[in-house]
Amino acid sequence: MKAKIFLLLFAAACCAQAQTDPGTNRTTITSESGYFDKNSRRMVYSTHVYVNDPRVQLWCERLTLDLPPQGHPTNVVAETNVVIDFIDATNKTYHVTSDKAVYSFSVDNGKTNELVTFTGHEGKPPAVKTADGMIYSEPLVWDRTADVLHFNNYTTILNQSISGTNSILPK
Amino acid sequence: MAWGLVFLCSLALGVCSFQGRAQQPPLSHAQDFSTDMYFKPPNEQLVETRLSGTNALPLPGGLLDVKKLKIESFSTNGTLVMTALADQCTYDIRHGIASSPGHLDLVSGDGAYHLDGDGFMFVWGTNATSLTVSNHVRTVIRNGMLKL
Repeated sequence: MKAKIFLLLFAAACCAQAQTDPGTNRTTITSESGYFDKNSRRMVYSTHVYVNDPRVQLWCERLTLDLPPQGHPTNVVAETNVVIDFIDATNKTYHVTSDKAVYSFSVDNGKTNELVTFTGHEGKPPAVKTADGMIYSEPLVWDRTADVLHFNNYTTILNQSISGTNSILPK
Repeated sequence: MAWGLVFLCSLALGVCSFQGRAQQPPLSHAQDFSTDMYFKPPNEQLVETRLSGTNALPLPGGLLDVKKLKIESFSTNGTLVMTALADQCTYDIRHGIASSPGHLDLVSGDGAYHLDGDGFMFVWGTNATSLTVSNHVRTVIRNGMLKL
């Protein structure tokens, strides 16, 4: 079963934050160590990796960036204990956890494609948590171009104050 | 990688220059020196990397103790790709390795990326060129270069 949730607030929130906080309008990556291979143009950050961006905060243990000679990174992979936080325009927090997150960027026939695919492992699928509840999905795919989240074989847990029902146990 | 290497030293005792990869390091203290490494054919006339420093002191084993290290990397059209600065490094000429436990600052030619950290090793190998930074790595990317 597949569902789509439109998260236009993400885009609005991100734009709003970037405009109102120009002092932090840049991306900072910190880690214990780093390795760059010039031939492959691949940068790997290892151990206690933290990414602070006006739009996103990300924690993981390994972050790999493929850097083309010009332009936008084409592939970014976060691995091990991946945690990503988004904050929308109403200061609503989206908290995503997974084993791995793969960001891919491409331009085909003038159309930009940006996908983030979150994956987990058996018994612990990726999860997105908000104040309203939590959704588990394997995989969890965020189509950033359309600002749409795609869920597969998902389980939803709604907070009682919102749903008035008992929580659904995760798979 | 078929490196061409030109090592130009303004020495206290004179000037020396030499070519080739397996060469002897200078035997005396050098000041304001630079070493150029070239692209593979057919761009072997173009400088790919320039390593320079204010002082170079020969050490046992064909090593140089380099002060105020500056490494510049260029593309084949001559554009500056990146500049790396460090107060000190040990440069192994024969193996093409510059390393130090000290601090490294690196900025891309367009200023979009800035990386710094403690403890580093540049390797200019036959088949690969790489940089390892061991500790406290921090990268700042100018807005818009890495959209998250």
